[in-house]
Amino acid sequence: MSPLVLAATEDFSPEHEFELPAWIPLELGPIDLSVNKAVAYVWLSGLITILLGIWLMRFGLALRPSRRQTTGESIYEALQAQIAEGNLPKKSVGRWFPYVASLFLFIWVMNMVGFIPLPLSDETFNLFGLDLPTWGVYAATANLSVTLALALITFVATHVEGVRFNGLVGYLKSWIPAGAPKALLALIVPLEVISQFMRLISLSVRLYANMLAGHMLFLVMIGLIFIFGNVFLAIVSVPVATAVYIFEVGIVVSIQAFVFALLSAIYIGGAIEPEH
Amino acid sequence: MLAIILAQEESSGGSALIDVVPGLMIWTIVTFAIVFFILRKLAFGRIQGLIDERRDRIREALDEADKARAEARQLRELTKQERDEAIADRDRALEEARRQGQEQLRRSREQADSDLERRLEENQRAIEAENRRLREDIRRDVVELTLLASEKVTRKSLDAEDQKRLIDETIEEMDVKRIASDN
Repeated sequence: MSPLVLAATEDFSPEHEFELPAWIPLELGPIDLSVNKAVAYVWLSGLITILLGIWLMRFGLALRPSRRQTTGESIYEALQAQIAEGNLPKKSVGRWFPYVASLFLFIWVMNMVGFIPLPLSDETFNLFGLDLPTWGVYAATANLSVTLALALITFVATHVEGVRFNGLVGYLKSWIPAGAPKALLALIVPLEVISQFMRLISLSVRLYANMLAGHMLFLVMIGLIFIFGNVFLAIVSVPVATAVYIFEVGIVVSIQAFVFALLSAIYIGGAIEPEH
Repeated sequence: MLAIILAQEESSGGSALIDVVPGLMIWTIVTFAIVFFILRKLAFGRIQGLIDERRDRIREALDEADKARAEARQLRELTKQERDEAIADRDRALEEARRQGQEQLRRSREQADSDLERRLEENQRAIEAENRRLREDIRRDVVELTLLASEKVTRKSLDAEDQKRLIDETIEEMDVKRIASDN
């Protein structure tokens, strides 16, 4: 093992930020429903999403909009135009737009909260005899379970809507490309079935991996100072970490939320109208 | 950096980064479901209603603007039509006045011509009458002079029959002379 790795294993562990020890142990039969840091971030993000949505899109609305209302309307109409109307069939926009819009806002808030230092850490520090939680950054979307759960909702919604609109047989038939030779069906059908499940994986892993990579990069850049115990490394690592932070907050956070919601709309729309 | 992370993963003997935790998935689904229902109920419906209302108002305003524009166009056409009709009426009135004027002028001229003709005829008749009267006077004077001369020549008074014969001869001569002088 290299000196770098040895140093890292002894003094600094970026992945510790992603460990989830139970804060409140809770088990429901075989399922561990313990409340931990990720659950707390999911709850916090959910609460912020609700408050943000209501603040921007409910209170003090008028026909002549204020700046706040204009922001809310712009977000709403952008989601409607960019995600829903272009990818969902007209007949199902009203039904599924709230879903994809909620998905976008929820993921965007989770991503954004992930870059705000909060005192929601397993570690503590002592200040005047008081053990206080360490401030740190953590993204719930950098956890595969969270993104997989959201992808699973889209996955189930896609197939339920596909069957509801086309019938089971019609929907399954729609998986087979038009004009595919019968001889190749034995090969094509398993591939199509696999591709449906691959959507679940790609949808979840894309968001998870992007957010995880951003956080890892940011944490490691800051961690280099502690790994090498050299404060002068901050001259390089802090600007790089800042650049990564700005890049993540400014671009990746929104793009990943948008892509997740957009793909959800495309999958659901494609299932409702396979020829769409 | 990846080496550091992977090394730490190996050293810890776990894979916390790629663990799938069913409990966390359930919490995520439950939380998202709550977010979804609350936003759909309280936020999206309200703002969609407002956007629809504004869209309806804009559509109504546009419809009203179109209607007003159409009315204005109609009014303009009506005004133009009325103006054209007024111009046509004016032209007709002018034409009628001109025609009546010409007619009046023509009638006046005819009347004047007729009057002139009549007056000329009257003058002619008066002249002729005067001529006749003068001729008669002259003839009478000639007759009287003739009688007077004849009496002085013959030194006797002429009887009625002589006077008549003499007058006739004199008149006949005078007529013959007058005809000869006219010719």
